[in-house]
Amino acid sequence: MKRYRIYVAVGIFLLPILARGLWFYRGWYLAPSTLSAPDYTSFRMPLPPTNSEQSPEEDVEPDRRVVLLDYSHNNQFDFAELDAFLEELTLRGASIEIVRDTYEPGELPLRERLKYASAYVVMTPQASFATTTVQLVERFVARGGRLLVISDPTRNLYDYYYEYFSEGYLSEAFIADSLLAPFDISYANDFLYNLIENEGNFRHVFFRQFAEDTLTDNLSELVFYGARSIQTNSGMKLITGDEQTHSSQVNAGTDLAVAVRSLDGGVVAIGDLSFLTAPYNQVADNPIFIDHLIDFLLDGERSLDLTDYPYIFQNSISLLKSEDFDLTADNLESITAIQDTFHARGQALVFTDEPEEDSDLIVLAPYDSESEYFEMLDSIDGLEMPIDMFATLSVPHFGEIDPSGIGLVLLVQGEERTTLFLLAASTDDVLELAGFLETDELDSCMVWENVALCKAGAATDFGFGFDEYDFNFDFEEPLPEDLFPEDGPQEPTPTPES
Amino acid sequence: MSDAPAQENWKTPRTILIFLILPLLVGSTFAFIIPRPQIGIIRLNDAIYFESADALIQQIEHAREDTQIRAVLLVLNTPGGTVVDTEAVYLELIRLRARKPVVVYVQGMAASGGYYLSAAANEIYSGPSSVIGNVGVIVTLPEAPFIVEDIVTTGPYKMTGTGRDTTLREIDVIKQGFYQAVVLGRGDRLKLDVEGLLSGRTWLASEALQHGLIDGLGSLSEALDHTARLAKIQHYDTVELQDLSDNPLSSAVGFFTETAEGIITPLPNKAGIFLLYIPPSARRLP
Repeated sequence: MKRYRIYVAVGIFLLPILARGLWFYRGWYLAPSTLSAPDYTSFRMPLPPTNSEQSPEEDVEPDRRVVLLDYSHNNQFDFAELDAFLEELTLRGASIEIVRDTYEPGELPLRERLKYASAYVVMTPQASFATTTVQLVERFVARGGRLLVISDPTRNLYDYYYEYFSEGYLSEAFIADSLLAPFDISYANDFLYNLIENEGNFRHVFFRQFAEDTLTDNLSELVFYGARSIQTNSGMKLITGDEQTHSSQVNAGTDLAVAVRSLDGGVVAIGDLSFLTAPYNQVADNPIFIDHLIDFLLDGERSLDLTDYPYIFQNSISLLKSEDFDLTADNLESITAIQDTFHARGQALVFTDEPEEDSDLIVLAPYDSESEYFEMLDSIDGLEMPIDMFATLSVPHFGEIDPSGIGLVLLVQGEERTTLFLLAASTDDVLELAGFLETDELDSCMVWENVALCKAGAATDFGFGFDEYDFNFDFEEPLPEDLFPEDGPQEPTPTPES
Repeated sequence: MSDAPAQENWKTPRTILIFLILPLLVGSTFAFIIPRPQIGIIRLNDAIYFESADALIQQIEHAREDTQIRAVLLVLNTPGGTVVDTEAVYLELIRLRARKPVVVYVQGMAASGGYYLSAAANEIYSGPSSVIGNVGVIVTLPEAPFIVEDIVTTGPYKMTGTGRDTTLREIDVIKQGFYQAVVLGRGDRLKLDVEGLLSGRTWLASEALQHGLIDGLGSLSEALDHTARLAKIQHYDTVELQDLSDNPLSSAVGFFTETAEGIITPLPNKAGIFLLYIPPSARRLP
């Protein structure tokens, strides 16, 4: 009986404790069984892919071709970065010329340099290209010159935009686009990335899709360390990303190109600069691609025409005059000046009657000369020399021309030699025409491919010139009465009230 | 007949006093030994760096040792911060979570390192327009190795500590840790794929919910209720752990750059590797 009462007492004792416990607590927290922190020891730093075993070609070109490297458009690179690339170019026979701003002393303008260059390389420009420069480059490419343009999304310039009163990154893609527009190539203002498979960072993208081209021979894998995409409709997409490679512009996209070749093959645009710089130039097949790019720069077949004067001669030059050309003290002075001009450019020019076999020629002769070298002019369709001083000169692209006072410059490019003819009505006129050889310019002439017409000497009056013109100008000012009609001033202009 | 004496006995005042009232009074007194449960609230309205992380860790340790605190609600409004400090707090939260539930409530922003901390929580709740995500690492590359005439070192990286390329690869290791932390923390609830998660995007909380980055939208009091549910408690008290810790709330001045005009910018005041969200208006790292 007593035991029963004790049970009851204990129960009543526990009751408020249980009640309070249940008031606050409804169970015990059980930590998740899978709870764990990352296994930090298992993470490994990604290592760069090993260098391709295939070593690039090392054959050296015998002739040194000039490659122009633009540094006049606020280009965002250091020469030290390009050491390896420039050294390889030089080893392969290129002569590299840096194109700086022309206001720097001794700098030849681009238009002069493009006359003799084989290739023009523009990397990460930040200053706009003038329309005339774009036209010059377009013409350069049309005549076999090679253009390599490289843009890089990491080289945007941080600047203050005064027009917007704000700071920001100025994309150099738009600047390069102005140069590439004639070739149907344009950069996107983006960067490419791959979050699934990359070379250490999402912006370090592997490229394994290549179009068939000499630039992509033997390539199996390239790595670009920060690249932007390029669009073209008519050109060839040389290198494209896989389906996991996206553009930052839309976070999507397939077949995004990072290297493009223009339809005519003369222009290559690449969306990354870093692959040219150490150590990224030694990763995967990057060295092979660089080697192909060097081939591209050096393999162009430049055609030269008169607009490329004075860089049309490849050999030593022989200056020939026709037999009816009298050598006097006056014309000797002119010829010596021409010789000095060519010597200053590092080209030998000799005055001779019998040119060496492998030399280029400059022929000075009047139209009616019987020079044996005139046979070379037979190859020019539509050219007819005046048979006497009253006959007309027939020149291709220009038609029938009165030859008096007009000099004709003709460039004949044979397999063995290049010959420049300077022809005019008289020997004095020829010497006057030869004056342009000293100035390197044909600015004062009308030029069409390999033919130029220049003023040389004075025009002959054949009866339809100044004598038929009325020289009796009346410069007297009109009298006031002449300004009004005879019947006095006109009625005033009616106003709305009237 | 046999029950009659028993009924008789209960009717005596003495018996009732000894066996009913006295046990009830003693039991009621003893019941107060059972503490009223508390939810510890830890607040972070700052970047994560040495001082703020130190304060957080002290509060977390306090919550872990205090038996009355049955759960912790971490209220975040942070763009993240340094890698080492974020990882330090994260690991302390993981230890705490092994003993007590941890819930995160995002009151403004849990970006980058802030979301790293959130990944340690059992559940994540947020105000509807808070900003969540920005999973990734950001770094300013060190200078390329250089030598100067008057300072001589015994190795090429003695001056810079590491190379530029190496730094790029090192942050990938940190990124892997961040990614794993999120995957482990969110488990099956995570709907984003690798690309989506590592894109570094920030998400509005409502979007983040769809992607499984958080568990729900609501108010702070609702988040407290969720915390209590996980801790299996009710009628709880809340306690601001910052008041209990020795370390007062730190100031962001120690981490962010201050302009000459006294304006605090969202940029760290020295170079380093960060789990940090930097708004687009301030793009340049030191």
